[in-house]
Amino acid sequence: MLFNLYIYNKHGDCIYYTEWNRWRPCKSPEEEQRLMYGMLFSLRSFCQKASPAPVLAFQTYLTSRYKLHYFESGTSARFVLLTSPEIPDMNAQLRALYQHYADYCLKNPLYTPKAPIECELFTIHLQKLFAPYVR
Amino acid sequence: KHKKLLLLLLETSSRDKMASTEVYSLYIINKSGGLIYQSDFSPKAVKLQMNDHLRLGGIFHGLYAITSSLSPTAGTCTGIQVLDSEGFRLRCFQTHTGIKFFMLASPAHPRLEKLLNQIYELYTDYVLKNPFYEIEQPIRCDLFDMQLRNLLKNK
Repeated sequence: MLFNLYIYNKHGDCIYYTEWNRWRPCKSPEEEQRLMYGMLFSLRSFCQKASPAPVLAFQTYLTSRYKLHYFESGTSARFVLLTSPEIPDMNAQLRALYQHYADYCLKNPLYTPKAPIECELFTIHLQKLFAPYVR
Repeated sequence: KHKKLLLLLLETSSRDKMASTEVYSLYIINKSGGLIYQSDFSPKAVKLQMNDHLRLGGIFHGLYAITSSLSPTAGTCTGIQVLDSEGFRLRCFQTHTGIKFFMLASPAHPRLEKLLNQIYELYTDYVLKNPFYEIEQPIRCDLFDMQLRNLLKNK
Protein backbone atom coordinates (compact mmCIF):
# COMPACT_ATOMS: atom_id res chain seq x y z
CA MET A 1 0.00 0.00 0.00
CA LEU A 2 1.31 3.43 -0.91
CA PHE A 3 0.81 6.42 1.37
CA ASN A 4 2.25 9.49 -0.28
CA LEU A 5 4.93 10.85 -2.60
CA TYR A 6 7.01 14.03 -2.42
CA ILE A 7 9.27 15.44 -5.12
CA TYR A 8 11.77 18.14 -4.17
CA ASN A 9 14.01 20.25 -6.34
CA LYS A 10 17.59 20.94 -5.41
CA HIS A 11 16.69 24.09 -3.47
CA GLY A 12 14.44 22.16 -1.12
CA ASP A 13 11.07 23.29 -2.47
CA CYS A 14 8.44 20.63 -2.79
CA ILE A 15 7.50 20.69 -6.47
CA TYR A 16 5.05 17.81 -6.36
CA TYR A 17 3.01 16.06 -3.69
CA THR A 18 0.39 13.36 -4.05
CA GLU A 19 -1.25 10.97 -1.61
CA TRP A 20 -3.11 7.72 -1.98
CA ASN A 21 -3.98 6.28 1.41
CA ARG A 22 -3.22 8.79 4.07
CA TRP A 23 -4.95 8.07 7.37
CA ARG A 24 -3.54 10.71 9.61
CA PRO A 25 -4.81 14.19 8.77
CA CYS A 26 -2.18 16.83 8.31
CA LYS A 27 -2.78 20.34 9.64
CA SER A 28 -0.39 22.11 7.32
CA PRO A 29 0.94 20.28 4.24
CA GLU A 30 3.51 23.02 3.62
CA GLU A 31 4.98 22.65 7.07
CA GLU A 32 5.10 18.90 6.76
CA GLN A 33 6.84 19.14 3.39
CA ARG A 34 9.46 21.43 4.86
CA LEU A 35 9.92 19.15 7.86
CA MET A 36 10.30 16.16 5.55
CA TYR A 37 12.95 17.96 3.50
CA GLY A 38 14.85 19.06 6.58
CA MET A 39 14.77 15.56 7.99
CA LEU A 40 16.02 14.06 4.73
CA PHE A 41 18.77 16.64 4.50
CA SER A 42 20.02 15.75 7.99
CA LEU A 43 19.65 12.04 7.36
CA ARG A 44 21.60 12.35 4.13
CA SER A 45 24.49 14.09 5.85
CA PHE A 46 24.34 11.51 8.68
CA CYS A 47 24.70 8.70 6.11
CA GLN A 48 27.62 10.41 4.46
CA LYS A 49 29.44 10.78 7.78
CA ALA A 50 28.64 7.32 9.13
CA SER A 51 29.39 5.29 6.03
CA PRO A 52 32.79 3.62 5.60
CA ALA A 53 32.46 3.81 1.81
CA PRO A 54 31.58 7.17 0.21
CA VAL A 55 27.82 7.25 -0.41
CA LEU A 56 25.37 9.82 -1.66
CA ALA A 57 22.60 9.03 0.83
CA PHE A 58 20.48 5.99 1.59
CA GLN A 59 17.92 3.84 -0.21
CA THR A 60 15.22 3.11 2.32
CA TYR A 61 14.43 3.30 5.98
CA LEU A 62 11.87 1.31 7.90
CA THR A 63 9.80 2.19 10.95
CA SER A 64 7.06 0.21 12.63
CA ARG A 65 4.32 1.89 10.56
CA TYR A 66 5.88 2.94 7.24
CA LYS A 67 8.84 2.57 4.95
CA LEU A 68 10.40 5.51 3.19
CA HIS A 69 12.05 5.03 -0.22
CA TYR A 70 14.44 7.72 -1.37
CA PHE A 71 15.98 8.42 -4.74
CA GLU A 72 18.21 11.35 -5.58
CA SER A 73 19.04 12.17 -9.18
CA GLY A 74 22.36 13.48 -10.43
CA THR A 75 20.82 16.97 -10.54
CA SER A 76 19.70 16.73 -6.88
CA ALA A 77 16.02 16.25 -7.62
CA ARG A 78 14.75 14.14 -4.73
CA PHE A 79 11.95 11.57 -5.00
CA VAL A 80 10.50 10.38 -1.69
CA LEU A 81 7.88 7.65 -1.45
CA LEU A 82 6.22 6.48 1.77
CA THR A 83 4.71 3.01 1.72
CA SER A 84 3.53 0.37 4.15
CA PRO A 85 6.38 -1.58 5.78
CA GLU A 86 6.18 -4.81 3.75
CA ILE A 87 6.68 -3.24 0.31
CA PRO A 88 10.15 -4.17 -1.05
CA ASP A 89 12.61 -1.66 -2.43
CA MET A 90 11.02 0.74 -4.91
CA ASN A 91 14.24 2.15 -6.30
CA ALA A 92 13.46 0.94 -9.83
CA GLN A 93 10.04 2.61 -9.77
CA LEU A 94 11.51 5.87 -8.51
CA ARG A 95 14.09 5.77 -11.27
CA ALA A 96 11.29 5.24 -13.80
CA LEU A 97 9.48 8.20 -12.25
CA TYR A 98 12.60 10.30 -12.69
CA GLN A 99 12.61 9.24 -16.34
CA HIS A 100 8.99 10.42 -16.63
CA TYR A 101 9.92 13.69 -14.92
CA ALA A 102 12.69 14.19 -17.48
CA ASP A 103 10.42 13.30 -20.38
CA TYR A 104 7.18 15.08 -19.47
CA CYS A 105 8.29 18.00 -17.31
CA LEU A 106 11.78 19.02 -18.28
CA LYS A 107 11.10 18.61 -21.98
CA ASN A 108 7.81 20.49 -21.65
CA PRO A 109 8.44 23.99 -23.06
CA LEU A 110 5.73 25.49 -20.85
CA TYR A 111 7.26 24.17 -17.65
CA THR A 112 9.88 26.18 -15.80
CA PRO A 113 12.35 23.96 -13.97
CA LYS A 114 12.16 24.11 -10.16
CA ALA A 115 8.57 25.36 -10.26
CA PRO A 116 5.66 23.24 -8.94
CA ILE A 117 4.81 20.52 -11.44
CA GLU A 118 1.52 20.95 -13.27
CA CYS A 119 2.09 18.74 -16.30
CA GLU A 120 -0.86 16.49 -17.05
CA LEU A 121 1.14 13.85 -18.93
CA PHE A 122 3.49 13.51 -15.98
CA THR A 123 0.60 12.96 -13.57
CA ILE A 124 -1.00 10.38 -15.86
CA HIS A 125 2.20 8.38 -16.19
CA LEU A 126 2.91 8.65 -12.47
CA GLN A 127 -0.48 7.18 -11.56
CA LYS A 128 -0.01 4.42 -14.14
CA LEU A 129 3.43 3.59 -12.76
CA PHE A 130 2.22 3.25 -9.17
CA ALA A 131 -1.23 1.78 -9.84
CA PRO A 132 -0.20 -1.86 -9.09
CA TYR A 133 1.09 -0.92 -5.63
CA VAL A 134 -1.57 1.50 -4.38
CA ARG A 135 -3.72 -1.01 -2.50
CA LYS B 1 16.66 -35.72 6.16
CA HIS B 2 19.67 -35.10 8.44
CA LYS B 3 21.93 -34.95 5.40
CA LYS B 4 19.68 -32.28 3.87
CA LEU B 5 19.80 -30.23 7.07
CA LEU B 6 23.58 -30.49 7.19
CA LEU B 7 23.88 -29.42 3.57
CA LEU B 8 21.58 -26.47 4.21
CA LEU B 9 23.63 -25.41 7.23
CA LEU B 10 26.86 -25.63 5.25
CA GLU B 11 25.31 -23.67 2.42
CA THR B 12 24.06 -20.83 4.62
CA SER B 13 27.33 -20.59 6.53
CA SER B 14 29.33 -20.43 3.31
CA ARG B 15 26.90 -17.88 1.89
CA ASP B 16 27.40 -15.74 4.97
CA LYS B 17 31.14 -15.93 4.54
CA MET B 18 30.82 -14.92 0.91
CA ALA B 19 28.58 -11.96 1.79
CA SER B 20 31.09 -11.09 4.55
CA THR B 21 28.61 -9.74 7.07
CA GLU B 22 30.35 -7.60 9.60
CA VAL B 23 29.43 -5.28 12.41
CA TYR B 24 31.19 -1.94 12.17
CA SER B 25 30.21 -0.03 15.30
CA LEU B 26 27.75 0.32 18.16
CA TYR B 27 26.30 3.48 19.70
CA ILE B 28 24.22 3.74 22.86
CA ILE B 29 22.20 6.92 23.42
CA ASN B 30 20.45 7.90 26.63
CA LYS B 31 16.96 9.34 26.98
CA SER B 32 18.07 12.92 26.39
CA GLY B 33 20.08 12.15 23.26
CA GLY B 34 23.53 12.07 24.84
CA LEU B 35 25.99 9.43 23.74
CA ILE B 36 26.82 7.08 26.60
CA TYR B 37 28.74 4.41 24.74
CA GLN B 38 30.49 4.08 21.41
CA SER B 39 32.74 1.34 20.13
CA ASP B 40 34.13 0.14 16.81
CA PHE B 41 34.31 -3.57 16.07
CA SER B 42 35.89 -3.60 12.66
CA PRO B 43 38.82 -1.88 10.95
CA LYS B 44 36.30 -0.92 8.26
CA ALA B 45 34.38 1.38 10.62
CA VAL B 46 34.70 5.10 9.95
CA LYS B 47 37.40 6.63 12.13
CA LEU B 48 36.00 9.73 13.78
CA GLN B 49 36.92 11.94 16.71
CA MET B 50 34.93 11.68 19.93
CA ASN B 51 33.21 14.97 19.09
CA ASP B 52 31.99 13.55 15.78
CA HIS B 53 30.65 10.46 17.52
CA LEU B 54 28.78 12.67 19.98
CA ARG B 55 27.37 14.67 17.10
CA LEU B 56 26.27 11.56 15.19
CA GLY B 57 24.56 10.24 18.28
CA GLY B 58 22.71 13.48 18.86
CA ILE B 59 21.70 13.78 15.21
CA PHE B 60 20.33 10.27 15.21
CA HIS B 61 18.38 10.91 18.38
CA GLY B 62 16.68 13.90 16.72
CA LEU B 63 16.07 12.03 13.47
CA TYR B 64 14.48 9.16 15.36
CA ALA B 65 12.00 11.55 16.96
CA ILE B 66 11.16 13.32 13.69
CA THR B 67 10.69 10.13 11.68
CA SER B 68 8.32 8.93 14.36
CA SER B 69 6.19 12.06 13.97
CA LEU B 70 6.20 11.98 10.15
CA SER B 71 4.17 8.80 10.01
CA PRO B 72 1.33 9.01 7.46
CA THR B 73 -0.80 6.49 9.37
CA ALA B 74 -2.72 6.78 12.60
CA GLY B 75 -1.38 5.17 15.74
CA THR B 76 2.00 5.41 17.43
CA CYS B 77 4.96 4.90 15.18
CA THR B 78 8.52 4.17 16.20
CA GLY B 79 11.40 6.04 14.62
CA ILE B 80 13.92 4.55 12.21
CA GLN B 81 14.41 0.85 12.92
CA VAL B 82 16.37 -0.16 9.83
CA LEU B 83 18.20 2.15 7.45
CA ASP B 84 19.61 0.73 4.25
CA SER B 85 22.31 2.50 2.32
CA GLU B 86 24.84 1.34 -0.26
CA GLY B 87 27.69 1.49 2.22
CA PHE B 88 26.09 0.17 5.41
CA ARG B 89 23.00 -1.00 7.22
CA LEU B 90 21.88 0.66 10.43
CA ARG B 91 19.64 -1.11 12.90
CA CYS B 92 18.19 0.69 15.91
CA PHE B 93 16.48 -0.63 18.97
CA GLN B 94 14.79 1.63 21.52
CA THR B 95 14.02 0.19 24.93
CA HIS B 96 10.91 1.01 26.93
CA THR B 97 13.07 3.26 29.09
CA GLY B 98 14.09 5.43 26.12
CA ILE B 99 17.66 4.14 25.68
CA LYS B 100 18.57 3.67 22.02
CA PHE B 101 21.03 1.05 20.80
CA PHE B 102 22.06 1.50 17.20
CA MET B 103 24.51 -0.45 15.19
CA LEU B 104 26.24 0.17 11.87
CA ALA B 105 27.05 -2.95 9.89
CA SER B 106 27.71 -4.19 6.38
CA PRO B 107 24.83 -3.80 3.91
CA ALA B 108 21.98 -6.34 4.20
CA HIS B 109 23.35 -7.85 7.41
CA PRO B 110 20.67 -10.41 8.42
CA ARG B 111 21.24 -10.83 12.16
CA LEU B 112 21.32 -7.30 13.53
CA GLU B 113 18.03 -7.54 15.42
CA LYS B 114 19.15 -10.64 17.28
CA LEU B 115 22.54 -9.09 18.03
CA LEU B 116 20.96 -5.94 19.40
CA ASN B 117 18.71 -7.98 21.69
CA GLN B 118 21.75 -9.84 22.99
CA ILE B 119 23.59 -6.56 23.51
CA TYR B 120 20.62 -5.26 25.50
CA GLU B 121 20.86 -8.33 27.72
CA LEU B 122 24.58 -7.65 28.27
CA TYR B 123 23.71 -4.03 29.08
CA THR B 124 21.21 -5.07 31.76
CA ASP B 125 23.62 -7.61 33.23
CA TYR B 126 26.95 -5.78 33.19
CA VAL B 127 25.96 -2.12 33.25
CA LEU B 128 22.66 -1.73 35.08
CA LYS B 129 23.52 -4.28 37.74
CA ASN B 130 26.87 -2.61 38.35
CA PRO B 131 26.44 -0.72 41.65
CA PHE B 132 28.94 1.96 40.62
CA TYR B 133 27.13 2.83 37.41
CA GLU B 134 24.85 5.88 37.32
CA ILE B 135 21.94 5.62 34.90
CA GLU B 136 22.13 7.86 31.81
CA GLN B 137 25.85 8.50 32.36
CA PRO B 138 28.67 7.37 30.04
CA ILE B 139 29.32 3.66 30.38
CA ARG B 140 32.74 2.71 31.73
CA CYS B 141 32.31 -0.93 32.70
CA ASP B 142 35.16 -3.26 31.74
CA LEU B 143 33.07 -6.42 31.95
CA PHE B 144 30.56 -4.93 29.51
CA ASP B 145 33.34 -4.10 27.01
CA MET B 146 34.78 -7.58 27.34
CA GLN B 147 31.47 -9.34 26.87
CA LEU B 148 30.63 -7.14 23.88
CA ARG B 149 33.90 -7.97 22.16
CA ASN B 150 33.30 -11.66 22.78
CA LEU B 151 29.81 -11.44 21.37
CA LEU B 152 30.71 -9.41 18.28
CA LYS B 153 33.92 -11.21 17.35
CA ASN B 154 33.43 -12.40 13.73
CA LYS B 155 29.78 -11.39 13.56
